[in-house]
Amino acid sequence: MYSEVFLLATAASGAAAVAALRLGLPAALVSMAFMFLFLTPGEGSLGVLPYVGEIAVAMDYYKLPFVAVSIVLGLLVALYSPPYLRHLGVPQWYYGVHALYVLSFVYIIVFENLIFVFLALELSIITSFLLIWYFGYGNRRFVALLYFVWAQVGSILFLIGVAISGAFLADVFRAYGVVSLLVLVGLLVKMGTAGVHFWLPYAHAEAPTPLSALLSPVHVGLMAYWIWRLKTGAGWPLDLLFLYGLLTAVYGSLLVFREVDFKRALADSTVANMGLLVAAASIPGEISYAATALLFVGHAFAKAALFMLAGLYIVSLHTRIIGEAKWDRYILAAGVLGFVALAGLFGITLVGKAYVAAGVPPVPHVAALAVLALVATAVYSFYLFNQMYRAGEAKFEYPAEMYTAILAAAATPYLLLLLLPLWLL
Amino acid sequence: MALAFAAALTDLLAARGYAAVAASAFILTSLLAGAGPTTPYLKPSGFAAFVAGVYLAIALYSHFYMRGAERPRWFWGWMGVFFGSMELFLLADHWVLLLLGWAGLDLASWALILTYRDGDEMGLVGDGGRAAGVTWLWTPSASALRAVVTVEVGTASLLIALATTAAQQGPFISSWGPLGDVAAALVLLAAFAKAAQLPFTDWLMTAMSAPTPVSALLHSSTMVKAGPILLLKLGPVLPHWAAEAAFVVGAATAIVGGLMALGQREPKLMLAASTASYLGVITAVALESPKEATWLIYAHGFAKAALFMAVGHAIHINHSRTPSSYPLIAKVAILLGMLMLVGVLPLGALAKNEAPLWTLAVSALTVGYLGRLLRSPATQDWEPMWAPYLALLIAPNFIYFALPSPILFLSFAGAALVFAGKWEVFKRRFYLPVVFDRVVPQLFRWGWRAAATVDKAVDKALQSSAPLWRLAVDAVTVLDWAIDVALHDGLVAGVRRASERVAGLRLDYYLYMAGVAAAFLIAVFLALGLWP
Repeated sequence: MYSEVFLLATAASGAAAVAALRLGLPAALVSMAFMFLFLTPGEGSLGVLPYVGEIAVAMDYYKLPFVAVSIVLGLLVALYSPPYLRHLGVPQWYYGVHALYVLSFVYIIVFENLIFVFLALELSIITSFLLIWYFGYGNRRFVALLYFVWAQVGSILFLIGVAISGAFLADVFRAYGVVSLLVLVGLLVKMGTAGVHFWLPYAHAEAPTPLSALLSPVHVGLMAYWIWRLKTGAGWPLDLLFLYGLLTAVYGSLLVFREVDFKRALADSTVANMGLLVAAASIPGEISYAATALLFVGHAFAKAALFMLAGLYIVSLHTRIIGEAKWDRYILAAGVLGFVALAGLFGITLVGKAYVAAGVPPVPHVAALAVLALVATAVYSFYLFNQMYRAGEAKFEYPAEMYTAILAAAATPYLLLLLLPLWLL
Repeated sequence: MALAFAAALTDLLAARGYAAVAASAFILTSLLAGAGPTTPYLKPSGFAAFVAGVYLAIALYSHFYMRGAERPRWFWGWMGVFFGSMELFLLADHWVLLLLGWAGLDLASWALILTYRDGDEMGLVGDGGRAAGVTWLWTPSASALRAVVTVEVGTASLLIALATTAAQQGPFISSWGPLGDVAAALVLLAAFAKAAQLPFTDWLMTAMSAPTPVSALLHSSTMVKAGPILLLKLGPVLPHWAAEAAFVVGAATAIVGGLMALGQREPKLMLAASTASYLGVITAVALESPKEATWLIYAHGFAKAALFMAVGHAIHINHSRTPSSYPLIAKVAILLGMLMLVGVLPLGALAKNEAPLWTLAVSALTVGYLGRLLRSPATQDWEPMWAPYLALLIAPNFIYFALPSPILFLSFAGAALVFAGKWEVFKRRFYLPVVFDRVVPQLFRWGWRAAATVDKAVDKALQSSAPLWRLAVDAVTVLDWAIDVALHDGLVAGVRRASERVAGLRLDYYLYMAGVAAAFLIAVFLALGLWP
């Protein structure tokens, strides 16, 4: 049954996305609306291919938050985009590529066959590469190539690992030694964790802001799902991976303080949050899923809101410097909601952080590192907010649709907190 | 719970504090009438009514104090969150709810410290002097950042302690058994940071950037009180050494805080240091004598809320954070507050009669610093903002009654301190701000600069490796060309040449030459006798 739903959703959203290449935003919105069909629970098979095996697809309780957030943020960002893209002078086909990019997120999670997950990763790379190449900032072609090469390295390592393992379906995935490490390193490169993150601040900061608002909050975070999903069969050293995640959180947080550029600061903060996500995904036991999903969702909405806020400043005040980001009471409200959620001081991100904390072993030095990681990831948010706050109050015009999307994304981590008991129970 | 947060939202939208008053009055009445939680996620707490009562008084007072103030939505909205979060923390038995309440306090206190704008004189803390490389002046934004960064250390610690324990022992705190040493140490750290115990004291001092009603609430019944109340909640499952650690840190803070209070010129700073001091006393006894600590929380809470509101009354009519005079009624309240704190009034006596002897030193210091406020000139101002704070000082003494132990009167020896000079080291708060404004930021700066330097170097190295890639590509291109030439030109041409040469020769010539060669070889073999 689900295979039919999958094909229908693919046909409808894919056709609308292709139409959006010519028709622009309305068709892109239709395309993303059709993607909600993917959320129908079930599992199915699209057929069997020689060597690749069964092309299995599924949607379940575990996949739901990742896919739903991808689509909702895709829609919000699309609604936010028109004034921004007018400001950049971007043609209509941007929206078509945007819709295909969001579709790739859905595929990354919905496919059960890891070779097809690789293909979905390729689709996401190609679409985002195009948008950076044509509409990015600064030395955009260099940045696009840098992004493309790193992303390909990650994807191909993942593919080689999966291919050598010989087990292409996620449920039966088994890998050992170097092969399992290839899969892990591939996913970590795509997440941009410490040591393999050098592409991330360039790509996420220099991408057109509506793309940044999906790259940083959603694209990289989706890899955490696969770390969580494959860890049982992969035999990775989870305790070391947990420590590595915490170290990444500290390292990424420290990097934020070097920045004056709003978007680069947010990009560095993504490195830190990917560290927390890796730590969450590597916790043994049931709690790992809750930690991964809650952190992903909370971070995605908060980060998207703040990237969109940075974009609002680019359009309205023509600045990317956070110390020049003046505010009125509406922007202040969005800033407070966004930065507090990003800090994990409240909202659904706090609960996500709490579940990550549940994985801390009772060893003093690990506990100390965990305290440092949790504090560091909170402190930079308040530091950034403080920079913005001290820029001072001012009255200025900004497009209402941009602000509405920002506020909606920023408020969601708090609204979801109210719904959390329903989901967990 | 829902009512408290709904009131916050209502006040945010209406920019008035009527919902705050109505909600706190309703919650107080309900709790006094015996209402209690009906879900296992919450458990009754005696502190809940106390907090509601204090909040009601402060909300009423705020209608006078904040009249005409900027950002009324911000103030009332966050006050409601502050109150609701404290009630949630008090009543929570599920670890996630307790954590939400705890974090809500951090969030609301941070936001409330930002109520005044940076340029507003009323939001500044400090005299602007310079000592030990620090400018003794903090704006609301600086104060808010200091506060949230410091308390976040405690929140992160509590997060780990609660989550790891819940993972092992289940989600309900009341069913927990003994905690491990690491979890216990993290709980202590959380309590110390929240209660502004050494070395985390200074955030509480600069939190005075907030309007006085916020200070009254923060210092009396919410936020800082969450520290010792956490110890009371988890006391039964903490190891024995935790009581000793709490005693050492608490007693040290009690004395240091009292001495700091003696050195302060700004009355709100004096009361802030006094809070740290009394929280030190409460922390010191919380694990050994929980009942004693409970009475101290009540007595200090009522007294401190009233003292802040009384001082705020003077600030309000003087339009200065260092008022030159105090309304007579405020001075009466300060005197009553002092008597409550040292244990002469009935509720204070309940709290202090059984207190350890060393706390007399803290009481003596209290008489010393509050006595200085009493020496200030009195004015006549009868704006009814005095009613809430006087009610807080009088009403509890009719509910609880005890006669003071005679030894408590020794506290009045501290009156001599009223006339003592102000020592620079007390005024400069034992130079603790140096830690928070110079040492920690410098360490942090070194940290991020080191990370940024390493990151940049690796990034640069990776980017500069691009020519190496080009070199590799060129080398491969040359090699490929050489092999191509060798294979397609050299070999093919050689074969073609040989072929052409062979094709150019006649076959009969080959046969003739082969025959001659064969004849020659046969002749040689025959001549040599080698032919068989």
